[in-house]
Amino acid sequence: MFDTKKFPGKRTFYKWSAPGVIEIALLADGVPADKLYPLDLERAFKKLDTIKSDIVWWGGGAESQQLIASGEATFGQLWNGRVFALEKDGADVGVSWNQNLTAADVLVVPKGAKNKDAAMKFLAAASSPAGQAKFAEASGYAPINTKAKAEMPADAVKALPDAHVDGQINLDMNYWAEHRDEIATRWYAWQAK
Amino acid sequence: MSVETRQSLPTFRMPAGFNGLLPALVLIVLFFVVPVMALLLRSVTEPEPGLQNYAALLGDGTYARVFFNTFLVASVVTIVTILVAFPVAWMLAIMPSALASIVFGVIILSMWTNLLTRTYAWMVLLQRTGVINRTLMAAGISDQPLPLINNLTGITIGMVYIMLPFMILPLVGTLRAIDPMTLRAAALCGASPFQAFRRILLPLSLPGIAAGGLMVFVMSLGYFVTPALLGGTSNMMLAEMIAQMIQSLLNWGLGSAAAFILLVVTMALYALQLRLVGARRMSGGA
Repeated sequence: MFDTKKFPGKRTFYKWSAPGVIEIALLADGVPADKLYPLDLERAFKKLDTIKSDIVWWGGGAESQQLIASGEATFGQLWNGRVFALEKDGADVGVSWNQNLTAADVLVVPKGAKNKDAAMKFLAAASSPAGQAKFAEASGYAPINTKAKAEMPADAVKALPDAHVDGQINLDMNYWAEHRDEIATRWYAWQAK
Repeated sequence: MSVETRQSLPTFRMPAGFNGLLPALVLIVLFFVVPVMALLLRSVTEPEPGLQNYAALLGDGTYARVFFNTFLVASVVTIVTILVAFPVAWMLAIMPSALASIVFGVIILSMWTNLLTRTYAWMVLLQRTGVINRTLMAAGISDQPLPLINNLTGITIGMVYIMLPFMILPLVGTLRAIDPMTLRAAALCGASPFQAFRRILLPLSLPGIAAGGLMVFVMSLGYFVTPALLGGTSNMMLAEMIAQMIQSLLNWGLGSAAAFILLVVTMALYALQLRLVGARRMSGGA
C-alpha cells in the first residue's frame, strides 16, 4: 500500500476520519499489531505523507467500487463486502487478506422508539443463526452468531473474513470512541494540507 | 400603508408597491432570516456561550487555508469565466439576431440541466481513465494520464462551465448597448484593433464585467457540489468544510460560525457590487 515503486498507481482509502487508514499506515511503518494502540498519530501522518499524492479518496462504499471497477484506482483499502459484490458481478478484482482489519457493527433501537417490540423482534430475527447465515452469504461479511456458519454453504463460509484469521487485526473501537474528536481534527487538517 | 398621515413628525412610509412584495417577503423571513438567526445563535452558544467558535476559526492554520482556498478558487473561476465569456458575449452582441437567439437557447439550455448530472459528466470526461485522458493517450500525445481531476484544474473547469451563463448574459446586455460607431471611429483615427479593444470596448463594457464577475465570484464562494466532486481534499472550500463539521464532526457551533462568516463576506461583496454597479444596472437595465 505504501510502496509506490513496487506498486505504482493510485490507491484508494476511506475519506472520512474513521478506524482503518491510520492503522495500516502504522503497520506499514513497522509498528507491531499488538502495539498499535494508543495510536501514534505523528508517525501515521508522516507515513501517509509519503503517498499522499497517490491517494484517491472514496467517500462511500459505492464510490470505492466504482473507483476500483473503472481502474481509476489500482488498489486500495475497501470493505470486503464491497469487493465481494464486485467479484460476484464478474469484475476482475481480488482481495489480499494479509493483515486484514476487522470491526463489528451494531444494531441499535433508540430509547423511546415507537415500535420497540417490533424492533426487538427484528433484532432477534436478524441475529438468529438463520438470519445471520443469509446476511453473511449475501454480503460477504462475517456473521455475529457463531451458529450461523453451520447453516451456510461451505464455499460461502470460505469467502468470509473468518477464513483469514492469520494476521487479522481487530480495530480498537473503544480507543476510537475516546479519541474520536482529537483524531478527526488532525485527520481533516492533514487532508486539507 | 399608503394613507398619508398629516403629522409634522417625519413618518416612515412604505415604498410604493410594497404590498406586492409581501408574499415573497414573508417567505424569505420565515425560511431565510429566521434560520439564519438560529444559526447565528448556535454559533455563539454551542458548546458554551461565547465567541470561542469564531476565535477557533480565525486563529487556526487549517481553517485559514480553507478560507484562502475558497477565495483562490472563486478568484480563478471568476477570471477564467470572464476570459472565456467575453469573446462569446461579443459574438452574440454583433451576430444577426436570429442566429444569436439560437446560441442563447443553447446557453440557457445548459442552465436548465441538472447541476449534479453536469458535474458527473465532467468526472467521466476528466478522470484518469476518462474520455479526455484515453483519447490523449491513444493519440500518443501524452504517455501518462494528465491530472485533470481532484485538483484545482478540475474545480476550475467544472465551475467555469457552470458559471458561464451568469457572465455571458449581463455582458451581452452591456456590449449591445455600445454604439458600434465608436469602434469604427477608433479605426478611422488609426487605432489598431487591439487599441480599439483596450481603449474603447473594454472600458465601455466594464459595468457588465463587474456585474457578471461579482455575481460569479459570490456564487463561487458558497459552491459545494462541484468542488466536492471534482476537487481534492487539499482544495477544500468553505461549504465543504461546513458540511464536514456538521455531518462528520457533529460540531454545530463551529459549522454555524463558519457558515455565518461566509454569509457576512458574501453580503459585504454584494453591498460592494451594488455600490459599484448600481442596483438598476444590475437588474438588467444597462
